[in-house]
Amino acid sequence: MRLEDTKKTFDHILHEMGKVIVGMDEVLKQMIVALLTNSHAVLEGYPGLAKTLSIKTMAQLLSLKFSRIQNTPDLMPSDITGTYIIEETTGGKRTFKFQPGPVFANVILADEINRATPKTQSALLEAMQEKQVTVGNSTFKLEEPFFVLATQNPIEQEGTYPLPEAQSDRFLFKIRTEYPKFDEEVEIVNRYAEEEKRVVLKPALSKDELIYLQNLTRQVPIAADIKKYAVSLVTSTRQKKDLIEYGASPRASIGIVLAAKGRALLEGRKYVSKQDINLMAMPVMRHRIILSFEAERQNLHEDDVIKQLLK
Amino acid sequence: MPTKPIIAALREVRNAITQITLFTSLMDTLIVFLLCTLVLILVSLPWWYGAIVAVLYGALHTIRSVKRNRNLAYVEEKVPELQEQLTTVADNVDKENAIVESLQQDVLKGMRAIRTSYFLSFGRLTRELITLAIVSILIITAAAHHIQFLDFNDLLRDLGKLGEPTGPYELSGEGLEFIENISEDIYGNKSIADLGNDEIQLQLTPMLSDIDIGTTRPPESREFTSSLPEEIKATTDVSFQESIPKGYQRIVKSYFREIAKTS
Repeated sequence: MRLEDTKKTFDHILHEMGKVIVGMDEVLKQMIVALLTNSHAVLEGYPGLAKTLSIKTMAQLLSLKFSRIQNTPDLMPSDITGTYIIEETTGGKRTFKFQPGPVFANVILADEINRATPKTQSALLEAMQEKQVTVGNSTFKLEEPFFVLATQNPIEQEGTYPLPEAQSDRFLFKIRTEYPKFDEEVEIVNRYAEEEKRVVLKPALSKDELIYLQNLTRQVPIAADIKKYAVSLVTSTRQKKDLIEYGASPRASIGIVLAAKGRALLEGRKYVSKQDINLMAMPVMRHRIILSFEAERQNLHEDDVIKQLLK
Repeated sequence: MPTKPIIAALREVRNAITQITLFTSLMDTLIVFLLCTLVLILVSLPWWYGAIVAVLYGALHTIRSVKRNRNLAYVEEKVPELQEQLTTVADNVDKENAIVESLQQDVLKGMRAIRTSYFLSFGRLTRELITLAIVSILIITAAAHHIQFLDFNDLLRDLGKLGEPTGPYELSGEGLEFIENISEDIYGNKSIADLGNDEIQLQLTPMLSDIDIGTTRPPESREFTSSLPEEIKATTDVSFQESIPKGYQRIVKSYFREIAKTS
């Protein structure tokens, strides 16, 4: 793939996803940016907002190994990582053989991640962070690229185990899916409430191409002033004590700059602009700050406070 | 190792911007100097006060402008096609990868479109030149016709006298001292008396003096004729006694006789 072709590739991916997903342009772009930065993302939204569908569609467009983990309270860590099973050879000899779990894939859909128990969540999050799995005495390296897209429902409280801040920090993005606009919803009804048409999606990105794009993303240059702007944005979360109790960590600074590079590449630009930083600030920081009582009393959400910082 | 084209191009842009900045600073400083000179002439103060003000203004203005304009964000502001790209390239000039090199090529292409007119406002330049011409004419006119709105030195002197006591009722020590000083002044300026045989250095500045050179004439020669009286005579003065009426002469005589007796 040539540098000049990157924009065409992304346009093709977005076009193909548009065949299945109506609207949600920003969500799809943020998912691609997470892919480019070799990071993980959690999609949060009410049920029925095509969170799972959008991840499945993206997986189809990538010629990568895809697996899905449906999280439930009774899901065990070994159900994710894999386990040793007894295998009988032709000679009647029995040996233990490692049976890899669904985590041994390139793209993983961890559906309803907040419904898994903390123990299971930890197993998945460890794999996300270390990109390796330890079962028994053996450690197994996960194949690159390794990309987890999780979903969670913000309103379901019964039988859920919300991700602790330290663990949600492992996700580069918390992507919020919103209700569609009226016209978009009419289009959704037209597509899915009438005669079912089989949509054929053409894979747009191979494994090597994705790794190339991930390397390219890190090469996108950024001006010193813009880098300082990103860092000042993150540090300002630690200074706004009236609304933010705990600010974002330096991991957020790295995340914003990296995400902005990905966003620039996605837009076909060879440099990071201030606008990229502003666009990426929300999904990168919203799960990394803890609001103060005063902010909650004013009925402010994380996005409202970040918007104030962006002013 | 040959210099990268982008490094040379960035240096060229910076130099060009610095030259333009220095030129505009010079123009602004010149205007400030002439305006100050005009004001100083009108209030009868030495013109070189204006030079001090202009030098200070010029130094500060130049430092601030050069500092601001050497930042490539200034160029990006004037050339929107290079927005954020020029700074990015300058900050990453030492990096070598496909994207950076491609961006450098794009920026080099964009830099060809940069014109001096982007940084030099001809409208502003024209306004400044007109201002310079007008102020210069005003200075020449004011100097030639001795136009002065006020004499600042006199004003200062008058203002100084405002606090000084003037009434006859002031009998404090200061007041008495003041009266003594005044009494000394009747002998003239002491510094003139001290000058003795020293040569006086005087320089008349046409701009600041009351002498109108256009109306002066060479000194006229005058002839002095002696007007002494031909004959000097001594005459007796009229007696005081004679001017007293006769009826009173005896009384006056006896009055002075009695005074003489008592003393």
